[in-house]
Amino acid sequence: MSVKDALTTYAENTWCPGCGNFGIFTAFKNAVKELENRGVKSSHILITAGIGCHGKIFDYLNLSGFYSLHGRAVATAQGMKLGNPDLYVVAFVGDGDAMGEGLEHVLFAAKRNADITVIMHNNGVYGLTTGQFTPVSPKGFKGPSTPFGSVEEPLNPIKLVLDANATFVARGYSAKIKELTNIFVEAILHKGFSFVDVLQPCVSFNDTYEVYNKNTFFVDRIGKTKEEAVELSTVSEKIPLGIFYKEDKPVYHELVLEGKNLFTGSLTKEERVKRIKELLKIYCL
Amino acid sequence: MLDYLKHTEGEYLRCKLTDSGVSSLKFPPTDSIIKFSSYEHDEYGVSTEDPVMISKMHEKRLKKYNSIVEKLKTMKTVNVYNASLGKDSPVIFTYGSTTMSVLEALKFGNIKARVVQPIYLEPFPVWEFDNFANTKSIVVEQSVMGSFERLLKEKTGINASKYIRKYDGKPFEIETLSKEIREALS
Repeated sequence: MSVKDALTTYAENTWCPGCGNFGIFTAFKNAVKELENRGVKSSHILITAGIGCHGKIFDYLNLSGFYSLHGRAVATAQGMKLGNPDLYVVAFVGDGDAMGEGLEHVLFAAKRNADITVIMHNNGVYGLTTGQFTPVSPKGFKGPSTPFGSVEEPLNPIKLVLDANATFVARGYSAKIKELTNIFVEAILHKGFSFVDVLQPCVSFNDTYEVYNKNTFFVDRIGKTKEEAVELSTVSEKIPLGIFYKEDKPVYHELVLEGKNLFTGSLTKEERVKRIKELLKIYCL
Repeated sequence: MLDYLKHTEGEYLRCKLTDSGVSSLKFPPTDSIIKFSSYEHDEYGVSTEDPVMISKMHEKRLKKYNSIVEKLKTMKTVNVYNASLGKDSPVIFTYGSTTMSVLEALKFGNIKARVVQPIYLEPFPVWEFDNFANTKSIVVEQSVMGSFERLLKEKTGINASKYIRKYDGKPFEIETLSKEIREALS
């Protein structure tokens, strides 16, 4: 395939020039290369995405997976992981997509510590539909659906997923590609539910480059408790970046499948039929 | 010419355009890229807005539908009960679990009728219904609008002479249904 690099498809890139998604795209490709250095084959990394500008990354990344529905990437990702737990599954989601349409999937995936990585492209707007406010847009945000300013308080995604028992929680910034790459690598290698909130300016409808360039900093430690993690991540005048929380806990697929792999360990048709016949004999008695 | 043809020559194409409409399935992990998309896509699985490709994919899905029909023709798609009664006996068309109510009602009332239950509604196994075209028939279903009766008529042209419908949220009651079938067939 004649492409710029092995991880990029031939698809025409339609993100706006200067879009924060480019930074996430680059950082993710770097992360895949780093993971390959650490022994994770790119063929074992599967991706899925929701709908929105973020979702286009599915077409641009030359990796296998499912281009899912609006808000449903996290549900899809959990299915993919259960389908073959030997694979690494990454769900790309938007802030509207994941905190609006698909919030319940995110919370329940965190609750059951599904061993997937959720990368939330957080630009604070529904950019693909020209800039409506999302559940994380600040109070007073003006957009086509809130011309006089949003009257609602925003959600705090990091606090939400920590409350729901996420075991890896971080925040990155699309313009800090080196640090974002490291966060992605750590998140993907973490066994359990990893959530990465990526601050991503939308040059067309919510250009936050100046604010983020000036006001972000990296925390110097990982929270020992969830409370400390929330404290570390809290946005005030400055916006903290980095890994806020990391915990080792049993993961969903191991608890449910008890170490089985339904794909590699699937039965032959003959064996399935034999077992069904045995079962039916029991129930027919 | 379209980009995707140039770029994907010789590679695995998850959604390859084929005569049957069916493309070969691969499972990860493999060196091939396997992309599934919820949006209109090209053969590689990448989203597309290209009207030529979108048309080709619609045609591909239609071909796949027709392939499924051909496959179904080799399978059992209709249950016919009491077939031994012969061609002149009346026919009751029904589907789903209502079939069991009908069979019980016939047994209860000692009514001689064949029962025809398609087990596929889409694609509808029209090829199985020629045998019942010119027979006295009724339709039994749980519906106020007669959805199944209308589907049967649309797909096969069969016009049942009478119908029995129920829509009170309860399954058919055997004694009542038996009486209704007897009256409808008389």
